[in-house]
Amino acid sequence: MNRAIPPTHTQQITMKPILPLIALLGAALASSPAWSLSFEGAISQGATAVTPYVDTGLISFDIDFANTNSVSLDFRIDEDDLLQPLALNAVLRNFTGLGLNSYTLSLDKGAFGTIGSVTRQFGGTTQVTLSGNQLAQLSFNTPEYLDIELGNALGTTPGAFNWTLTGLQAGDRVNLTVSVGAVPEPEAIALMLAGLGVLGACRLRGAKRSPQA
Amino acid sequence: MTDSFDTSRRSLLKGGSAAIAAAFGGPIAAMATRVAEASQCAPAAASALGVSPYGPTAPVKDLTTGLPLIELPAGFSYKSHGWRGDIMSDGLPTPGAHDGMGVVVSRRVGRSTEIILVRNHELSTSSNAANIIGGSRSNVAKYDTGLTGTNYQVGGNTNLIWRDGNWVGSYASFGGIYRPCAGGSSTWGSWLSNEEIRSNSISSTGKKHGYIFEIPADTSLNAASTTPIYDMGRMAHEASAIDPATGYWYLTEDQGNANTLYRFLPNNIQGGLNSLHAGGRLQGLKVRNVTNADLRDPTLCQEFSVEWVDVAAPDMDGATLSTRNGNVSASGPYIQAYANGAAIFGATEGCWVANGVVFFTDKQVTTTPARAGRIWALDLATQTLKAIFVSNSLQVGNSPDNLCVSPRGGVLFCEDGGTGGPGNTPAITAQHLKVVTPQGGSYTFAKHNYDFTRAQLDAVGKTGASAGNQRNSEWAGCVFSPDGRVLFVNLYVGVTLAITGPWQNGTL
Repeated sequence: MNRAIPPTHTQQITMKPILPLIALLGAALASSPAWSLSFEGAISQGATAVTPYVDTGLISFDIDFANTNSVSLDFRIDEDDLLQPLALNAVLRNFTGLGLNSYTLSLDKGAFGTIGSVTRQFGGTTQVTLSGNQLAQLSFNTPEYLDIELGNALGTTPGAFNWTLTGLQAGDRVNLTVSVGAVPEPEAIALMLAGLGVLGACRLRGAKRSPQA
Repeated sequence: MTDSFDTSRRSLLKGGSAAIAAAFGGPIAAMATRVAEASQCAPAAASALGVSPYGPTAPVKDLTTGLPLIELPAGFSYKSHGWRGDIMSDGLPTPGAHDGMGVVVSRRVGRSTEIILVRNHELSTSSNAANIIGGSRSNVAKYDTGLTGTNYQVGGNTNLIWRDGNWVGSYASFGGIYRPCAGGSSTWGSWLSNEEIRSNSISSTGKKHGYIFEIPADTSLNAASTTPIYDMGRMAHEASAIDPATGYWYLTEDQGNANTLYRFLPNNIQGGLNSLHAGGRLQGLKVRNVTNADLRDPTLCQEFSVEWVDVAAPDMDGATLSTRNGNVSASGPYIQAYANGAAIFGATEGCWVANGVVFFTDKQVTTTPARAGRIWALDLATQTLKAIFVSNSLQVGNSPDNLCVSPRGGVLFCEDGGTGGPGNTPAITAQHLKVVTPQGGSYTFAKHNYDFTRAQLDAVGKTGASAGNQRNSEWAGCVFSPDGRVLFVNLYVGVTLAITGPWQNGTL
């Protein structure tokens, strides 16, 4: 098990007021804080690596998956900003050597707001399914062997836009777990077929015995 | 001779690939075992064609153009780039004759993953100076802009950039050379572009040809040197492959029945851009205790203990050489190597070093005796040469040209054969990418499928591409990304491909 070490200092950048509405709302809102976040650590297995890119108003990270074990990331909300969404983006790299059917993102607090873009390097479609408001499954129409960009993580992909999170506020600690759904390896398929064959043979034998019983 | 070696240099040379492995992780770690498996061949007279573990091939549409350029097993997909005639990032048209190619840099740029490749354009001569690659640009280094007879040398190189799974650019990087064929990557971010010609001619600018040149990964930062690496020899060069453990280079030569495997021991033990220009020692392979062993007809798994003989004057002119097989046209280096007992191969071509083993091809095809290509593996630790693939039929392997070893240890070769030769029934209708199995057989991974009309090509914006049936033109320049996820390969007709898919289903 690997535990990614959080940065030595919290990345806190005060946003300049950008909405005229803020001025209209007077002193109370002028002192409204911006989203300020801290990456508190990640748990991964084996050679899977996590790199956080937390910024003002943005939860962002890269995961280099070397295996199909889930990765758990923890973030702390230091300050919130109710006038701005909390954005989410990521690069998920597939070094498992396997074709992936899906990724699943699950939150333990807050909710997924805007479902942003999912960009696959070699194309293909992605169906995003929300179960409740804390679990999002990204299902691919063809196995994914390369990387996907969640939202606008790279900043260069035409049309890419970030996901958002809602329902969080200052003081919250939020866990985001990313799970991998892999296409079974040929050996696993062969084993499964062999198992089904044995089951079928047993059933057939049972069926043959039944009339005699 | 004694091969002493500075361990600090070993560390430096190995640093490149180790850093790549560390940065990208993944299945590269499995390499050692699989390369070892590749030498577990089962003795026989010759190799046989087997069934692909990836399954049968079928036409697959290119994700870039929608044209079914190649056949692949189910689950694989690809993107094309850098078609002949496409306008490159520098505004110049992409040259044709796409040949050897290598990954010279693999890195993270911010959060992006970037790979830089250098590609050979195996162009020979033209009477039109405008056809010299980069001829109109002063920032593109050119070796020779003079005339040899009535022609200019118009071969050269382009560099390609692959980022986050997409082709993002290419540009001319070197010109003025003759017919760069296979080539090879260094461990310090450059490419060796090798002229394939045995010639004593001198151009109007006083230049000879048949040399090796070094091309940096980014020629906007470091222009390519126009000085040949003289000590690597003047001959019909093919590939050059470095052993990261020692820094020694292994070279092949496509000079029919007058070639051996060469090795080059550089004087500059630190490596680095232009370090090879400091010279070194060129040697030819000899079978131990056998003078001029003829290795054109081995049996599968046959082994030979080898040693190395010196080539004292690597820039010596070529001439007709009287050999045990009759008179042959030979390069200066081979004349000297032969005099010292070097072995005889048909026509050595592709070369790759992986985990202490030098893999190289002999692409010669003859009907009598039946020869359709051989692949050799030289174990550097034991200095034992083994025939790991012996094709006596075009169906099994048709003139293996460039080859590469995947990060998982699978040996892949590019066919560059014709339709005539041993085993040409049923008729040869296409060239293939084939894989050598650990037991010494082969199977088909991919099949050429380029057969388009002018209208079909124009409709997808490929107005400079060749029309017609090109299925029997060669594959070239195969190389995997260091993480093993993408296979880059050229269709010699003038297209570069990036292929990905379920590699784990087979031996690549």
